Amino acid sequence: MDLLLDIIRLVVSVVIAYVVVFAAALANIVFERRTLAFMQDRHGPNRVGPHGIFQSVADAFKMMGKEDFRPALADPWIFTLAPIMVMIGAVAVQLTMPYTKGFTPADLNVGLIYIVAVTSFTTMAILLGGWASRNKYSLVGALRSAAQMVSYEIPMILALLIVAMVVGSFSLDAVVDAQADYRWIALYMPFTFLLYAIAAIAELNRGPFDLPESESELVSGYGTEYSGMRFGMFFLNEYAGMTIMSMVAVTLFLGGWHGPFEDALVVGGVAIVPLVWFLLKTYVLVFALVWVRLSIPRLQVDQLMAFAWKVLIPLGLLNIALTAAVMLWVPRWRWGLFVVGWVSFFAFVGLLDPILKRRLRKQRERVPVVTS
Amino acid sequence: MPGGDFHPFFFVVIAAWILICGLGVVLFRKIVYSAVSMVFCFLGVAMAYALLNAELVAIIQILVYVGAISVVILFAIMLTEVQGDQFTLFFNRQTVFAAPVAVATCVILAVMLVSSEMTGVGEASLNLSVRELSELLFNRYVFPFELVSLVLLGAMIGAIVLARGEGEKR
Repeated sequence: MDLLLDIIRLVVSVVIAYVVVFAAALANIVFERRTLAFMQDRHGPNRVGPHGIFQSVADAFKMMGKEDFRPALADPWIFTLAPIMVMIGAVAVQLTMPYTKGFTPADLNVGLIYIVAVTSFTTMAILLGGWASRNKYSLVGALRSAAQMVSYEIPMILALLIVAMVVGSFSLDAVVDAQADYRWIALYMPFTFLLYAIAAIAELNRGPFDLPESESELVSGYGTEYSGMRFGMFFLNEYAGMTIMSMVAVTLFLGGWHGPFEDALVVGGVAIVPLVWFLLKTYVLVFALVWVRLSIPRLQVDQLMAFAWKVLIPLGLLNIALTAAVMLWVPRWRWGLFVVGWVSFFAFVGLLDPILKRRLRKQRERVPVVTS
Repeated sequence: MPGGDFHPFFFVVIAAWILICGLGVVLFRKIVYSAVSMVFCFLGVAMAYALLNAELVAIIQILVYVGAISVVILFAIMLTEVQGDQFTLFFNRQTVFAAPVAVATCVILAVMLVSSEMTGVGEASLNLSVRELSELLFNRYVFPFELVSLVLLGAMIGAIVLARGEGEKR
């Protein structure tokens, strides 16, 4: 009987996680389209429902109604498997998020490593999907994606390590607890947050790192041969990833559900106000993701790899060494980290642009100017 | 893990899963199918660890084997693959040597497991926290730990030497 209850609980929680992930993805699609339209001074989808909020529901039904088409040369099994696998990461991360005070579906004491581990399923699904399509563009897109995600995983782990060092635990609940009273990690370690944010955007395959599906070079990358709901799964995963990554960032760096009036409203044992803070912070970051995508042009492949291996990883390692030194030798180390964090933040932001521009100028000088 | 107790039923299911996927690795003719089967095999092993209350090992298993090694293997297969399905039969002349080795490994493992004094399944003593584990790893066992990193360094240098090719000056 006990066993049966366990199984029922398992199935129910996974179904709920799937529903939440799909809803978040659908909401994000409309949110991004409307925000992009607003920034580009046009209307965007505004016909279905008030302000077009049901647009992606309509799109989802359209996707499901499409013909289930598979290219003749595609590998039948793996072509089917890849879109199924792609959602695992998003759903699995969801199950460990501390949503509100005293409500974490599953508080693992290795939650930080768990997040990194399960998100790697997405890489594999994309790689398999691109290979199974038997299409040059798909394969190139998939290989690019895998290389990119494996490379940017390292700076991301380096940033997560610093959080674990400061908090002294891998548990997400402990991370949130350590950020009570506005001691948000991003406030005193902005540089680490910046490193994490860059790596996270690259992990999401979003602009300016959206090379795996750059339209002008690769049709649409690994998704080229997919259509209907199979394509829909890849698409949904990408947009669900926006919310998931933002949730992780909020939990690790922006204080999780902490905020003013935490105990103001409790309904049925669930604290509502912290949940609102959590979702509000998450959607501020989602908005930032859209904003970044629109503002920064896409990188080239060589620039992308060089940026990960020559810039982010050395800086991440240096950051770890500095943080460890400060924690070891400075008596009030939070203030020490505050100073180090903001100085390196401004140094990075200030120096990156001039250095890149100088390198670019040198490269141009080496190439002879062609006049017609 | 949340859920807590050890259920023999789950263990049987997971063991069967691992065995079936392992057979898949050996028996599939397409190398990508073998690789995918191996991924699921690794996942099964991770689930077994989780069932035995070794959260950290389970998650490291997923991180390293599923997230890194399998991706690199798939990457290598896709880069080197000859177009137009190359079917390779895994039962070849190596079977003569491989079968006795596999059987011997099984026997040795079984003897070791039966003869040694193992702690009971799912007991707290097995479940080291991250802190305890890292203290062991970086104090008492730091020498083997560093030795492993030396192996990795050797592999990296080897890979670079191989990738450079012969007579290439750079």
